[in-house]
Amino acid sequence: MSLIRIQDLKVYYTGHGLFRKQSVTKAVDGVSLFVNDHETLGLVGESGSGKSTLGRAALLLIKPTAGSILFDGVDIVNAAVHKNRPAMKKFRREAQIVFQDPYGSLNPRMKVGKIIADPLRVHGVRGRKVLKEKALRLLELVGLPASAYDTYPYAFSGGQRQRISIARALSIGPRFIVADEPVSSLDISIQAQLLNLFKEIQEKEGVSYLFISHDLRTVAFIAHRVAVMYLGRIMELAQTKELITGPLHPYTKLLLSSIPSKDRRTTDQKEQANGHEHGCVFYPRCGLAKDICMDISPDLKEVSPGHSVACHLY
Amino acid sequence: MKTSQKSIAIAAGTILFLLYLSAIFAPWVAPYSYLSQNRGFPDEPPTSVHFTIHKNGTTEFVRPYIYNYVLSDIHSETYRELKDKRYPIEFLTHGKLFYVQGAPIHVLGTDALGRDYFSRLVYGGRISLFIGLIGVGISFGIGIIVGTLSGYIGGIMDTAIMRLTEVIMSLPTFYLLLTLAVVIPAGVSSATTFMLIIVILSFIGWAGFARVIRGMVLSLKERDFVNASRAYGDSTWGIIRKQLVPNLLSYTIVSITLSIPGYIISESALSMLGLGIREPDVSWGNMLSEATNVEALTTRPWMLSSGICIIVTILCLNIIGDYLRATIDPHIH
Repeated sequence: MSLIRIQDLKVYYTGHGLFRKQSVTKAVDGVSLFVNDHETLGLVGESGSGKSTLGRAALLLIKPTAGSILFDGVDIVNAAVHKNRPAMKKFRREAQIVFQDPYGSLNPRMKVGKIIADPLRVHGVRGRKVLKEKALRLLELVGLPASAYDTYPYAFSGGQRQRISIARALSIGPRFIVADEPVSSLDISIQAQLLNLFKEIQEKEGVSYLFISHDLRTVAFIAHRVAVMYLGRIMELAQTKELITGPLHPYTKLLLSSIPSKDRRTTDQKEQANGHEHGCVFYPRCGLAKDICMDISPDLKEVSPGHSVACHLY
Repeated sequence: MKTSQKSIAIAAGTILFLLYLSAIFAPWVAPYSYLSQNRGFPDEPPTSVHFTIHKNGTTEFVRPYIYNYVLSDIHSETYRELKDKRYPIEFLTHGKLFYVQGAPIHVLGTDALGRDYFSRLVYGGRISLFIGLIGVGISFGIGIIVGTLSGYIGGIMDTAIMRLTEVIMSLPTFYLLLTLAVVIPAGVSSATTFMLIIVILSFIGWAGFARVIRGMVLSLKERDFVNASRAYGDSTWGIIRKQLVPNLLSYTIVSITLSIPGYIISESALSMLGLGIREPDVSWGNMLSEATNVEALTTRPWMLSSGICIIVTILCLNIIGDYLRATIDPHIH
């Protein structure tokens, strides 16, 4: 059974304007996916594709508009609405997040030791000595010196801060971690170190990742399976190797060709999406579009075992 | 941070500390009560303190002493020292900081009723200095709690609180004060009246601060360290206490030091208008109002000492506030 199963998840934002009619932004529009135990699911897409929103909604940091999230077989969207405390507590202990911005994700007024130990305290671990011991062990696990314990975050570089974030996420022994572009803001050399750390931790602790990135190479390095997202929808989902070697969706092919073209700007995306209500979201940019693409949005369908694609071509 | 600025701030802190100490221990610092009158000696100039004796053409240093004074001319209020007997100043005796047995000592002279000006200044500091602390304590206490809740919880509560602050902020404070001064019964002492006015003022004054705090919380709660706490399931109270309040503290401390002067100034303004502390009770504000004529200023400049106290206090608070603002997080961002 999969650890987390997201079904038909939707996150819509309603914009209000004084002189404009209400507009609805569909950040995530009917996404279904699952992550198995000890598995890494990569989630790629350009900025504005809704991948971060999906990651945050999966942890209920953003309230989903519709859809369900089954974590370990329990619908946590339901649990949150009905204030099912035991279920929520379990979910809050077992699902964690690492953010992209190393500077915004650590409280500047808290010492690193306290930052790391705080989740433990929230989940009922008591005793100064016990907490310190655990925090020091976590620091060692993520490759930081023990002296970091008594230091404020300002003393650390971006990469080190991400390590602190990882230690905080790991402190209460989660089974699932959303890694929301955790290496995107770092130097290439530091990126490699951190990706290795993520892998190492997965081997040691057996956690599952939903690994979000805009960089297909990063995801290819760390993920077992990859989902490609575009304008709130999953375009293609397959085993990493299969996706890299035999991409089916025209958008995946575009990403893989990695030729920067001027129409990759988000403004274009939004403009295109606004004037285009019914058909495939990728239609305006698709070189292989047919008539049907303009009117009917393709569903994600399995074309070969483990390989799904949302395209009328298949 | 330059060392000079630091030492200036330390000096300002020391002065402020001494001022507050003298207000707290006023009965010990002041040689006389602020009420005791000596009508035979109105508007006496500051008693001169002597350190030397001239004997046979030589000058000898002795412990400080004073002479007794007599009113030599009632109309021009001219005083003369009676040099026949010396009265040494005694320190730390008779339960006072300094005291002279047998002769009155008026370090800053006397007022029109013969009351010791220095003693009144020390007692006056009790009102003027603590008014600010009480006012700021109440308004910032309410402001930080309401602002944080409003900003973090949001929704209907936020809307309700913000409309309430708008109503409060649109009250014309000055007319409210005038009304209050009239409405409060005459029986209560003026110090009580004034405390009431300040308490009421600060119940109104929290609104502006609460709005600033709300704004800061609105931006803080979008930061990812707050999201991380939500992800590991910390309670609303836990997030407010551990993540939000520590990040609001530096602004609050600076803002507090910079708003105490406002209360001190409003005290002196109100007392001057006769709405605050009234005779025989004493504050720096109403002492200063006695000095508002040219004759007093030219012949008895020491009456301005209450004004100097106000200026020094406010200056010190501003220096400390500026220093804190510059140093409180030197390396956090």
